[in-house]
Amino acid sequence: MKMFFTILKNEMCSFGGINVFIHTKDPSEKRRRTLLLCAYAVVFAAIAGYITLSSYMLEKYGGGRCIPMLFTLLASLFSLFFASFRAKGTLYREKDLWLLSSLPVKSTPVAAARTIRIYVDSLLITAVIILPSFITYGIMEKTGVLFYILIPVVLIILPLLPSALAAWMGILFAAIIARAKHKVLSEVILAILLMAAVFVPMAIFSSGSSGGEAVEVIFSSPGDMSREEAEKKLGELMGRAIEELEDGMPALKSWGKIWNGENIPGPAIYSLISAAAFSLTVCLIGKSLFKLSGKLKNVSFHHDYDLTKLSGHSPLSALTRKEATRYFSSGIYVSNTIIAPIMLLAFSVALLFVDPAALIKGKTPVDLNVTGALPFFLSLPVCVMGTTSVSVSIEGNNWWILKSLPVKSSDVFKAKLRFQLELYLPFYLLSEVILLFFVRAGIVTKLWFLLLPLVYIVFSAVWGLFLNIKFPKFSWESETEVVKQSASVGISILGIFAVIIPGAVTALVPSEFCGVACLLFMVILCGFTRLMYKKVMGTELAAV
Amino acid sequence: MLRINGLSKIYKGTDKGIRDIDLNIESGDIYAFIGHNGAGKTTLLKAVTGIHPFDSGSVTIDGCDVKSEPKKAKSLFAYVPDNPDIYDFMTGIQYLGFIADVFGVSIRDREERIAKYADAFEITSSLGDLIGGYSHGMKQKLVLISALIHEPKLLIMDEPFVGLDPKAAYILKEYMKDMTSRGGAIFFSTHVLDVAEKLCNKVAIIKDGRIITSGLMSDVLADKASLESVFLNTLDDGSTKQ
Repeated sequence: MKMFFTILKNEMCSFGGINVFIHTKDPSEKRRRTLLLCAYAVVFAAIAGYITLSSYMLEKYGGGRCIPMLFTLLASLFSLFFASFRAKGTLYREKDLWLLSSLPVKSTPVAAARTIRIYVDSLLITAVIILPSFITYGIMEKTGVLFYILIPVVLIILPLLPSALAAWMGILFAAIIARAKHKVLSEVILAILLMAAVFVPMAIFSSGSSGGEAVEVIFSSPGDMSREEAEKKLGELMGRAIEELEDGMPALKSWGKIWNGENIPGPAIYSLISAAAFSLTVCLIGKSLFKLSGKLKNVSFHHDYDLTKLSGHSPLSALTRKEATRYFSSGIYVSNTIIAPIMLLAFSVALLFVDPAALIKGKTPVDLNVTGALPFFLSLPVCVMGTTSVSVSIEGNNWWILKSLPVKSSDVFKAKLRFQLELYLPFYLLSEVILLFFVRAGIVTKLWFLLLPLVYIVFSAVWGLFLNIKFPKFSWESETEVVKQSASVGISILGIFAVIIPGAVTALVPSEFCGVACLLFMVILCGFTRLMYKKVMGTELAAV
Repeated sequence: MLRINGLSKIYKGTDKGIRDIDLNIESGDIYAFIGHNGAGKTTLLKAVTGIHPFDSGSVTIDGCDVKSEPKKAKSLFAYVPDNPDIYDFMTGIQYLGFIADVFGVSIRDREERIAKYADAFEITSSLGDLIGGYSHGMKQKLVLISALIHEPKLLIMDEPFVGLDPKAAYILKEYMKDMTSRGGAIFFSTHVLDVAEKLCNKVAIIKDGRIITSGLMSDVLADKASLESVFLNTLDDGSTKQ
């Protein structure tokens, strides 16, 4: 047991860089870490705020009783999704395997400590979803003290099963990837499959018949329905949606009943199953963790190399090619960032079949200039996460190479920008072909279709790089830490406000001023991008 | 070739680093740099190569200031770190091609040099494999080839013999001698005092971030039996001799 706590203490030392924060004597490092903590707090607060608002709306329209089961489901799915990606790098990581396997330590305490590390990550995700939703529910439903006592119990129990499942998914993923010839492609496909398995059922549920009707009610004009009628209708639809959810997932129904005191054995059984699954996972994986980790190592194939004719490139081109090689060598990097340009293309294709302006026309309390705002919302996906927001951190231990080479710092950064732009270019061009030649729109709208996505693609590249230079993370154990959990990635998501705010404003201005609004926002965005670009180009590699 | 004047670099929030370092490495020198763990060897080498910014002093390579003309200065030297952390996602040949591209080595020269050095270090057949699958020694050999491929005037190395097999270590020593015989210079840190004594014409000893002894190997050795005894005595009394 003592050994387990020693290993667990070591495992948790690296959690959120807390050990470095406590022991670093470098004031700038301390400042950077504090800033990072603040950034995380802002992101968590934003998510918590969103969940509180969603819970409030559910309560308001009569869907309160589904809050406990809905948010426990969401917390479990998100925990499973993120933990599955982390499992390979946390539970089966090779980095300190040589050290631990050479020590007089059994593999079970190591497996237990590492699984608990996955559990703690899941606990955080669960807390940020459960706490705001349950507290909103508790206040609005005026529940008793017992409810608040049960919240920490739920928090502790809920991440157990996703963590245990993730440990097994991690083995499966690692084994498939290690033996695949095209490792990156396999990793991307697995990531997409996992994403689909977790989120498609949610999407199907939210796009059910009651969801569609709810949208119609929300967008109905005041003349069609009074406020009271609309609220009553929404309440009815909500009740139907909950029934659909409960019918689809009987286990959830049983879980949900505990909050009304109707079903105590159900959740008790669930808790027992979760605890048993977690313990069993630790025991089974623990028995052969070292052997397993060795077997899950990537298998590399050796072919005798014959020196043939070589080719040469300019330094900038060589740096860009290096960025491309790095990018396509990492499945998790590709699967997380390629979604953005694909979505841009998908949005453009969708416009061939759907006219959002016609869909919403006459159904809103105020007239919205949907067509005017479309070029902004078309650009939304490209602002979510670009390759550049990771491109500095992903250098990790290799950062010394670029620092010692005879290249300008600005060339290194230009190569990182250039790669993202080159990656997005085919998707942008295809989108433009669709938008300009096949989508029905006026010449002015088409002009904005041409310009605004381009401006946002450049903005997203510069914004990501600017943030990654401010918040680099060179010390990491698995790529997941950089690609999914680093500060620059979290903050870069805030870039969507650069689309949402101008888009919303443009939708509200009269159509004759729409062009002026677009132009104004484009100029502001270009100016902001230029400022960040200058800042990035003025940064010395040695200072990062 | 390499002139270091009053170089200081203190890590923020600590009193650790290097202080007032003065060294002059001339063409033809094989200059050993020795010191105990944490004395400041790697810090000095990283400051000289521009990897770490430094607080005060100057570093010039063949007359080029590392701070004001970093690109030109960096094109004159090659750096071999203590740990060969290189791009695992590239194949060996891709990495060498990348380095050759950045240094502007012509196609003909790179083909000739890669063939020469890769054959000498016996890794030609592995050049098509991903670096991630290389052993520590193979990575070290690849870093050495990438350092030699652009024929630098100055070679700066941090513990270059660690991880090399005896044959590769011998070949490296021969290349070092060959490079300095053609007017190049080598500045490297090592803990292998026997190698330093036999191979180098000059030596510097660093203790707690300060150079305490430097100069010609024969002068530093003086009447002492070996570099090892000089090193141990110097560390004990800590007196400065230049």
